[in-house]
Amino acid sequence: MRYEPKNCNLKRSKTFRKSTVIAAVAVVLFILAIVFKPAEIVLTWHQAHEKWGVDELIIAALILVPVLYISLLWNWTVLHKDKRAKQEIETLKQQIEFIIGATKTGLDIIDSQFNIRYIDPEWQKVYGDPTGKKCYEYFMGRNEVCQGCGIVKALETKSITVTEEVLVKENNRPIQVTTIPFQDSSGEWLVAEVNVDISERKKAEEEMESMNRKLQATVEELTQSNNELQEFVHVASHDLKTPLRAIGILANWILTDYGDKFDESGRERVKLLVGRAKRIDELINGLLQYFRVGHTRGKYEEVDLNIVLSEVIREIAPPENIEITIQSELPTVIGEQRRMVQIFQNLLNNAIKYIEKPRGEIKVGCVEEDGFWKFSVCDNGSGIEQKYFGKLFKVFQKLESHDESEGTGIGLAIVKKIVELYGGRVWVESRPREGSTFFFTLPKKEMGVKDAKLETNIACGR
Amino acid sequence: MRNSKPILLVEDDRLDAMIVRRALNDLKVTNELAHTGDGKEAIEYLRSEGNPKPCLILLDLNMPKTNGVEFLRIVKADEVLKRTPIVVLTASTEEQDVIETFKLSVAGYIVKPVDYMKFVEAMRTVTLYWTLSEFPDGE
Repeated sequence: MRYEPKNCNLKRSKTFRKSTVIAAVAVVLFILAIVFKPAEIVLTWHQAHEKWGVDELIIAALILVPVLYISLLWNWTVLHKDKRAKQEIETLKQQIEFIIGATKTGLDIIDSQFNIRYIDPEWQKVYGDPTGKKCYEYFMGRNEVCQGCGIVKALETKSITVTEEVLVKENNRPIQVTTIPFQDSSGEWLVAEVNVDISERKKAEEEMESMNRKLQATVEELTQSNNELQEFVHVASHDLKTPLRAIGILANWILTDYGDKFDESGRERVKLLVGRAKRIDELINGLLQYFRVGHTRGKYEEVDLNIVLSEVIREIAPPENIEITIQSELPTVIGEQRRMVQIFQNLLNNAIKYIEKPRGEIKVGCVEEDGFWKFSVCDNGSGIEQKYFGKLFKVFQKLESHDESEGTGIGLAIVKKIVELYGGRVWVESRPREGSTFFFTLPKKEMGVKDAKLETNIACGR
Repeated sequence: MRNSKPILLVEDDRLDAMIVRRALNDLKVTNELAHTGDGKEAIEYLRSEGNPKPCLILLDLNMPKTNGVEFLRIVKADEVLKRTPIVVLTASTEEQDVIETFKLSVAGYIVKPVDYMKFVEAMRTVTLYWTLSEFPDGE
């Protein structure tokens, strides 16, 4: 049912029409007075009967004419008022119907016997003449009262009832029916039904439901894949490592026990075998470490990064030619202590590994920036070409071949995972042969960071 | 080691048992090494009258039948057996395992190294410690 807006300005100037009619009547009367001369007729009649004198007649006429005039005027006013009231009601009805039609709200009035007393014109356009039809026949094409009928309930409880229906005749259009019971002037109970189209809402609800189902399926899939991953981690950490250890150690024993039976190249190959077994072990350990970030959640506590950093430096025990300086006081953050340790461990180890100069310098700093702590670890090492920046933070991405460098290439990936888990980000700025600065941020607010007095900007000399 | 009682190794992997045996041999540890293949066997060994009580138990965690943690629960609930120091010797680096076994009062937790020399180092440290430390011997 679509509503076509129409012109609702019904009255044009009726006063003009009325004045024209009055003027015409006056003209006719005037002509009749000239043709039939009524005064002469009266006088003639009077002279024949001689009842009243002329004076009495004039007085009677003088009284009668205003009385007649007043009564006419009175009648006319009353009639006119009545007509105007009727017109106003009609106009109001049309305006209400127009408004209801425009809102796609159907309106009907039904009595306790389910007879339709009123139905708005827009409905009639679709359903036709309601005369003599019960509401369930007219709207639903049924022979009996609909199940869960709102009219029955509204009349029983004498309170507004809201139900939902599907209009079969209109391609199952869903509507919400608000049934309002009321008494008319004679005291009879009726209901007014306000029928609002809820197609859009239903569609949105269905979409949401289907989206929910999809989401549920995704969650299940993820849970399963997560469980499989857990399983894999378990297998990797034990079942894969046991035979690996056997290979590594047996190779070692072969070298010890039968080394003198091999030539130099044979011994070299067994040594390579031992080395590769060690590397697989390191890779598995790295993967496990990477996997555990975010999967095993430790206690969140206040972590003073100054203490963390000095402990990490002590543990790393950097070679004598490398000096690590802390340029500004570090903040205290709320988080997992060992994750913070892992960040600095990996960044510092990485910096130390790539310093080939006789004097190495590593500077650690922190500034406050846009609600974040921005940390920097700056070295004067070999630096990285810009085209490798993207690869740097990926798992097992190494910029050198396995035989040339130690480590598994997972350290920076772990740093990235931890930092992103805490809502920060990590990036690098570097120039080949001049050094690199690794930056990472941690949000001040979310992590409940305690204040630290540091506004000094890091100046990392390059 | 400080006393001459045997060391009990609870380990299902034959080669891992070989490694421990050889490492102890290389370290000139003279204590006898008793080997059981899982927790159930180990309990039976410990409860059997004929067997000498071990001074130290080296325990693997991931084993068939009765695993390491289950073994620990049984042993630590036993008034006599719970005095024997137990050092976990496992491939597992799971933090969960570390926490759980220490809750069950293990004396140490060593992750088996892939490198034999490191394995020998680890065994050296363990035996050295138990050369210095007193054992709760009195029965």
